[in-house]
Amino acid sequence: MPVYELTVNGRSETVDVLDDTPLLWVLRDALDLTGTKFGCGAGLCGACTVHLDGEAVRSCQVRIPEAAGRSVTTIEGLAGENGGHPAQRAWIREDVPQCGYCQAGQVMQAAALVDGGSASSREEIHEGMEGNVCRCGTYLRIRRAVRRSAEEEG
Amino acid sequence: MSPDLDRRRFLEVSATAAGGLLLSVSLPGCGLPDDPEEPEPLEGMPSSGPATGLNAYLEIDPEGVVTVTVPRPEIGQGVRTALAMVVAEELDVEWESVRVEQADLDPDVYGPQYAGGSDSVPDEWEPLRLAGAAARAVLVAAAARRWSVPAGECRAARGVVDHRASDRSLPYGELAGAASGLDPPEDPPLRSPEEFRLVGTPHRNLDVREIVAGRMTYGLDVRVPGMLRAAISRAPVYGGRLRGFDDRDARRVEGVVDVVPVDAHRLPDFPPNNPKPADGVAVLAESTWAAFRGRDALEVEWDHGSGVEETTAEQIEEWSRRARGRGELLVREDGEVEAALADAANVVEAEYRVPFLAHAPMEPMNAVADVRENECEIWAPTQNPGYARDVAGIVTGLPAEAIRVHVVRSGGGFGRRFYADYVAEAVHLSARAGRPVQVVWSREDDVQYSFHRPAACHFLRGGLDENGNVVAWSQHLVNAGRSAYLGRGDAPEEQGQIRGYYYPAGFVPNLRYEYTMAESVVPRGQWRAVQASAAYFVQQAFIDELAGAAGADPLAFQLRLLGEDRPVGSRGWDSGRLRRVFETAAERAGWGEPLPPGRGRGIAATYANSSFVAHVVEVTVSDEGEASVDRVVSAVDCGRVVNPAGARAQVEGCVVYGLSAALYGEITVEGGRVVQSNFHDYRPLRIGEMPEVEVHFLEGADAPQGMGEPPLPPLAPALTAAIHDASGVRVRRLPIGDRFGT
Repeated sequence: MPVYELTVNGRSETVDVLDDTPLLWVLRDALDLTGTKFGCGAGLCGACTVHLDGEAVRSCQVRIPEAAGRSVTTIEGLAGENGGHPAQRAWIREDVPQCGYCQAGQVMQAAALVDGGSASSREEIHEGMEGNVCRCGTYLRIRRAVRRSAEEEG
Repeated sequence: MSPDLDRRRFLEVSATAAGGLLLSVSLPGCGLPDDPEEPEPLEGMPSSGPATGLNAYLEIDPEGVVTVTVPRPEIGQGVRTALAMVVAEELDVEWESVRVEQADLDPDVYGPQYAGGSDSVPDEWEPLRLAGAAARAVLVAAAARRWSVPAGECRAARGVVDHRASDRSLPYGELAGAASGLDPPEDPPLRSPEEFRLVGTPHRNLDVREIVAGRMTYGLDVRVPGMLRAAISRAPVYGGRLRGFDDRDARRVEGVVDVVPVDAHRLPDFPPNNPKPADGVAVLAESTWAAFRGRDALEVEWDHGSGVEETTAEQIEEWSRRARGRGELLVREDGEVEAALADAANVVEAEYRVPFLAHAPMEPMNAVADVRENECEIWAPTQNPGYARDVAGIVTGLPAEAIRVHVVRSGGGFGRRFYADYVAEAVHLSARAGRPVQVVWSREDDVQYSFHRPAACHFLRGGLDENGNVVAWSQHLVNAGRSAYLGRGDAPEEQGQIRGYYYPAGFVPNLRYEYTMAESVVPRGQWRAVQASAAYFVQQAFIDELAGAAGADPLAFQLRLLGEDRPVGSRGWDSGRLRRVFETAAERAGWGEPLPPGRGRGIAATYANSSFVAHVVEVTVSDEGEASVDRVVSAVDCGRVVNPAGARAQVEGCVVYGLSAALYGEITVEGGRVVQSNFHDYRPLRIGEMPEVEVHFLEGADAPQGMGEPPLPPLAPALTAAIHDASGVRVRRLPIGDRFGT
């Protein structure tokens, strides 16, 4: 199998996987970073959202050759040193999760929005979070948490 | 559950020294609300040393950290937080010192351990209060001994026992060792509800930090050394059987280790209500992706069987024709329905249809099994670990005591994970492979092989007298219920979505419920709120129609039908409690206040899982017939509310789940094959469609009652009533779709 190099959460990683492996399964199976979740495998639910060179992407839709040589941040690496990203702190404050399975993807999507300064209005939040499904019903709290993290970031 | 069994359960002292994999331990945050400026650590508090178990539900370490073992599975319903609160309340400790561990399956110690029927908090309320109180009693006794004073002079509160007369005190952590050797009292004193500090106050989900840091372990995150991944190609037509397969291309995929048949129909019979998996071919591989790739490369020949003859669109028309005639089974008959209809001033006829629905929890089905020579170990995101063990016993032939089931957090359940078909697959494959195997379903697998909420067609006739009173109600349901599919052996009248005790039976003098059992190859099971999800939509929507025909305000009409407050039957049904949720929701929603053109308001209330819920739904409809839901105002009487934050989340959850289903949810079959496959054609609600939700709790009973399901059934009928109010259009078929009335 071919070997690929990429940076994940600031660490250089070398993986030996099938050449069409989605980044999602590279993270989960080859690197054992299980915080990134499998929800639909088709880019329809956002559970697998990670940052690729700072941009939110669906890791189930990014094949490993496309990610090679680039920098990936997953939920495990989002917190950094300061007690968590503002989105993570806001998620705790707003008591968002129920089952929690989609929340890593929700937080990664929100973090990208907030960092990019595009989460100031309700419309922006809806547009930015539209691709992330929650079946348990946490949308109201997500809306509040994104707003809160944008205010903190702002 | 009998009080004797409850007592036996808490008296069992279990060895809680770490055994097996510790899958998830979490620490609570402080209760809400709190200071928003206070920094929130993402790291939890570590345990300070070996802990002492005081009974099967709790242990205390030397620093006073209390670990509560929660016996019921967490599927997002917040049971870990709520049940830990109950123990901590009676033990009387600070919430910040509590952590939670998930119990493995051990029914001898914990009794029933399923998450279903909204039973977890109601059923565990008394046993867990007793467990906390018994532990508090032995801690007091240990302190009294230490100080040689009467126990009656000592007091336990907030993690400390003190003796005021001598001004001495000791924290629980220092007493636990001595306390563990003492016999707990038979009837430990319980705190009176007036003393509750934790129960009844909002507490944040105690797993929230682990979740937002990506550290929570779900089923798919379980890793066992040497484990293979398996993807299964299942029969494309329901009921199909494996004829043969060519696995040459699959085996060429790097990482594929083996390809084996899953001829599930050849397995010994499974017990009633515990359905078998479908027939299939499994690809075992070193990675999930290789397993998926290998599966795609399989050439499988199927014997499709008679399932190819089933097409939902035709089937429902046939059910519709049959629903207009007499039913095969008389479920209930009061008075003279036909005579009353003939004499009625006004007769309303309507046909209602509801579709099959998949559960589609965010985490697709999966399980890990490790079958060894004389034992089997299972890690499963399950609502029903007992069923997991039952199927493992059948597949392996091992006795129950040789099978360990670790309950892993589920990424949603909604009834789907009550069944153990995916566990049976993992066990079967591990036994074949001689290695641990993790079965991984794709979303397409999940949508296809859900145990779907049964579709149904109801034909109703309602008669009103000249004063607008309901004098006759005739309802005939035709469908293929879940019972027949699951082999439950229920009485015929229990097999459909209409039961003799369903409202408005007992409230209408001439009433007839009939059922005609149809057949279907679609796998059917329980879906959030089970029969109520369908039957109460029809019931409440038709009452709203009758109100319209009577020219009455829908709320006033509903209250008039309920009449005098009274208990009805023996199932906890109390018309006064239903009336109060109707009135509260209406009042809080501003019922009767005028709305701008294009907006409408609807109300519905139902009784399910021992709780009473009313919703007022407000919608805006466009000229094109698109409905957007603006606001839901809910009144909930679920008895005592343990965790208001968690209970509110369940209402929000039922609103989203109910709206997803009412607007878009539909599984259809063509030639025995499911048409839908993923979230593009089995659509969930998205964030921009989310209405505001306002929740008001009425606590009409001392003990907690169901919460995870009861807010679901009244959502759809309140929505269709609101659409009617806004547009004049009656929606009688779900899902509503992007546009109604088209």
